[in-house]
Amino acid sequence: MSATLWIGVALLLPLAAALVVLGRPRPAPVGLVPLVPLPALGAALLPPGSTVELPFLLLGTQLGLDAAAPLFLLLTALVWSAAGLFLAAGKRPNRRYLFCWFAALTGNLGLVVALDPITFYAFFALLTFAAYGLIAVGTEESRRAGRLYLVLALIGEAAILAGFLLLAAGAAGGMALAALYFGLGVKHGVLPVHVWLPVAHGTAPTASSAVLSGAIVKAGLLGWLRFFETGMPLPDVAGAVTAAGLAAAVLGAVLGLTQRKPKMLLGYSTVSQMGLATAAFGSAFAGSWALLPPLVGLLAFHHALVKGALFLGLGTAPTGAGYVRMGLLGLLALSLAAFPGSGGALVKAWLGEVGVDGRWLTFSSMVTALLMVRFIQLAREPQPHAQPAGGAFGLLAVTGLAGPWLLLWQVNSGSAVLVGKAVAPAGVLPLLAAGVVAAIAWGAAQRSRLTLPLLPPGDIVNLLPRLPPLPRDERGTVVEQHRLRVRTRRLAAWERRLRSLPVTGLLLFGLLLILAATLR
Amino acid sequence: MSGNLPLAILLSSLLPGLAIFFLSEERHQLRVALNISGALLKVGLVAAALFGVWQGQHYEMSLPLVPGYPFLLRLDPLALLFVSLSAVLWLLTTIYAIGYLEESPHRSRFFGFFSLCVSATVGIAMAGNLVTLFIFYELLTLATYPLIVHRETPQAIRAGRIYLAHALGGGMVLLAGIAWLHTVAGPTEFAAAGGALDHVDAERRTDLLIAFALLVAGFGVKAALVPLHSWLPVAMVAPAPVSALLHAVAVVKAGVFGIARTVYDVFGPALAHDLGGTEILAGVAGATILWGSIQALRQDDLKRRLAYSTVSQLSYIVLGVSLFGPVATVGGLVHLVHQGVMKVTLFFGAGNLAETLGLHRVSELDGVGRRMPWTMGAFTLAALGMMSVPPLAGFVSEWHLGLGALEAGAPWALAVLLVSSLLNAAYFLPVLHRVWFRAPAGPWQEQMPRMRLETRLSLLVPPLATAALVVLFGLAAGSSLSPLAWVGLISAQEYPG
Repeated sequence: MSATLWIGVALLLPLAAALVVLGRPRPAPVGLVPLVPLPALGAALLPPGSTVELPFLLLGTQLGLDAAAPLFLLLTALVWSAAGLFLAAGKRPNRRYLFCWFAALTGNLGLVVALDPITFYAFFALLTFAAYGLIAVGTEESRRAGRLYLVLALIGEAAILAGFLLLAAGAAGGMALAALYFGLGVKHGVLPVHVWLPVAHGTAPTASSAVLSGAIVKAGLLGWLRFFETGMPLPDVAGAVTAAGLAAAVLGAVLGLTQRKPKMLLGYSTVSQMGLATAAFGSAFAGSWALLPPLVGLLAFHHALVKGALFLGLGTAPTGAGYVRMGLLGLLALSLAAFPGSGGALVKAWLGEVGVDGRWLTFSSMVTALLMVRFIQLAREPQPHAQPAGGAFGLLAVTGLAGPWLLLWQVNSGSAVLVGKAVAPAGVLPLLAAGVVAAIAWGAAQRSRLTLPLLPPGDIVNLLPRLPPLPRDERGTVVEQHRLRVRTRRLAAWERRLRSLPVTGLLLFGLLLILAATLR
Repeated sequence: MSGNLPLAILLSSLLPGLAIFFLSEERHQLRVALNISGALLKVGLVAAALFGVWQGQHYEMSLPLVPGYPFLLRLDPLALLFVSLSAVLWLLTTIYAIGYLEESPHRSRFFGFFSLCVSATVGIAMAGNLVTLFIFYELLTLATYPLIVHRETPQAIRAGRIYLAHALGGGMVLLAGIAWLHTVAGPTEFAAAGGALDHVDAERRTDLLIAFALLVAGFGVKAALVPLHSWLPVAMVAPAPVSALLHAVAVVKAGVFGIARTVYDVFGPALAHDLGGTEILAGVAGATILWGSIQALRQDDLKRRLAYSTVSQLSYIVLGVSLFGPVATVGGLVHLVHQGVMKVTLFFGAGNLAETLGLHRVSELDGVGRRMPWTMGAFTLAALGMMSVPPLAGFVSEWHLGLGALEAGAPWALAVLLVSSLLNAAYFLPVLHRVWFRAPAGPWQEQMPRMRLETRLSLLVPPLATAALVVLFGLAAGSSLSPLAWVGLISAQEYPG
């Protein structure tokens, strides 16, 4: 009963908010925006295994909490709430944006508690479409980013549907696996469909970027956790998936270094961090699936809050000298680069435990550290559209830094070993190495005016040829209507004969006669 | 009693229709009263029939016609699926048409033929053998013609001529098919799960296949199978209520329904599959789905884009019918209803744009969502439904069709469906983007005096009602009152055991 209540309120409140925004021409009280996701926190505390069956809905809906759901509910609610706080502190958003905000929130929360594929797909689709409104906000640049996002997301949707249909038909083979890998992977930027992610993050408003990178990209990970099942040839692809994940982890960070806008850079960093999650899946395919949900949950939680906070911090105007802001950003950057004792180090240690190659993890820490040095350098410059919103930033940053440690004992019983590894001082070496590289590069740049090579955001998408537009069908236009008038004059005589109904009546009578003749 | 119900359903639109012909143009209120009471009566009768059939009642009416072929009306679950669709949508379309044609000439002619059209449609639905079906099928052709040419412009006349040429040609092919089948099998009537042709010798398979091809080709004209589809986009010059009738309620559905009857109740799914006819039909349907979508991409005229979309979507139904298996059957037949409510919403929306603001082209729609939020909201839901976005009606169809394709061992059909969904997105999303995300280019060319609502109430209620159905049929698909549940009943009959 309490499951029905909490899940019901958690989903219906944002839905109701969306409808209110839609139906009320007067501006909505934006102060309430951060409160809307909060009931989901209550749902996150429900006992695992709670389910709600709604057989009349769709093709039989099952809502509830599986092993991964509580952490994902928690991170989704926290990120949306903090971003909502940021939104409320700034310029009043227009109705369309607010509607899309609440619709996307409904989809995001709904898919976390949707246990059957069809309901999951329905909420996923709601999220996909509504997120377009969070990216495309009116400028030509954002419109282009939105289109790139939507094209990839829709192809992803089709792939997901194909995957779910194959599963439902009992054909859980390689095709289903590939369809779900790429279809769901569009959201969290698996190579090579990652191209939308930095572009969208770089152009969307700050609050949108925070929920995109924090919460929305996690939807794909959750889908993987929930629907990669036994019956798929998982061990066969374990190596390939691990390699793809590690490649994304490194490439994402390297490509991020070539960006000039710090938000684009953070987008690439998301591609990189999600690559680590992909690598974890690869390792689990080879062996221990059971360890995966808590690990991916913790990774997602850490990344969601830290990355969300980085975006909010970037969009926050510094107060006074801005030491607090830069200090917090620095701490967050260190956590992302797995500084010993940080939440990031905890996640990396755990990744090593489940069998992801330690050398690659070290290397990825190094490139991430380089990326973060670059980020801090760029973040010191004044940012466009920055607004005073210290509260939202601070709240999310502190939760993100401390949260992984508070949750660890909830999700992992053998954590003592992990803690030991996470605080081991050796973890500082890749960061030091990165510091040395950064210093050399900086020195070289000072002397010879060398700058980092710049790549356009979206990297390989810029290599695609532009499709020529389809030739327009000109019928029905003014030209055509004129041509038609000329032509119909000739046909007018015929027309008059056919137009008169008696003729057609006779025709029918004739047909009936033929019919009668045939039947005899 | 049991014979009176089919007759009453037929007469509830036929008699008001005939009466309306004799009304003078000024008798507005009487005409409206006749129209609406007929439509309401029909919905009531259909509801009674649905309940009765669900309870296991049989309703049948037979009159002697020609030797071997009585004039046979029968209410089975498949007939009721089509009858209830057309009864409900006829009611809404009538309300819409009353608002749409306010102050325009020849309204008695229009509403008279409008009612005849729907009478012919329910006749097709309830027909118990091919000859009865054929009579109503031809009546439908003739009753629709005056509606298409209603505006009497050169384009309308041309459209009417093209329509007539196609439909009458199709009718003749159909007749030939019926005759051929008669020479092979003698008099038959429709039988669920086939069996009507069991007595035919195995050597006459070629004859059966020819009869199948003729029947399907005859119905395929109205069902707008490529390459027989070209009349449909041309006919979009007709007034919006007629387009709704053509695309959702009556005409194209009659063709698709005929194909379903042929496959399920004349040949039976097993025999049709065995002959190889359905395989070819599935291929044609797949090609039509893609061809229609690609053509729709090229259109700037909104109604024309919608028309090509109809060409594509109708073949979803044909595809579902021609794939062997109960799940594909469910997907195809449920789309008969789902496509109807979605497409009628879209045409209502296009009609409102034309009637209220004089907008006809996609490129003129920038920012119109602010001026007509309710109309465009309904339009948006229907368009998303067409793209098979859950939880809307179109998704329920697509899910069953896709599953059916896999079960029938035809993964290519699933690929066609997915590509078609993407193409649907490619021609609907730019429209929605213009409507909601762009700023208006200038002041609107208001076609009627401004009022408190965005347009006339009678133009607003029908699209909102059908849009609600689009949501409801998808969201509550699992309930026992949904079209899906009813179609499950039909499918269980056609594939017993």
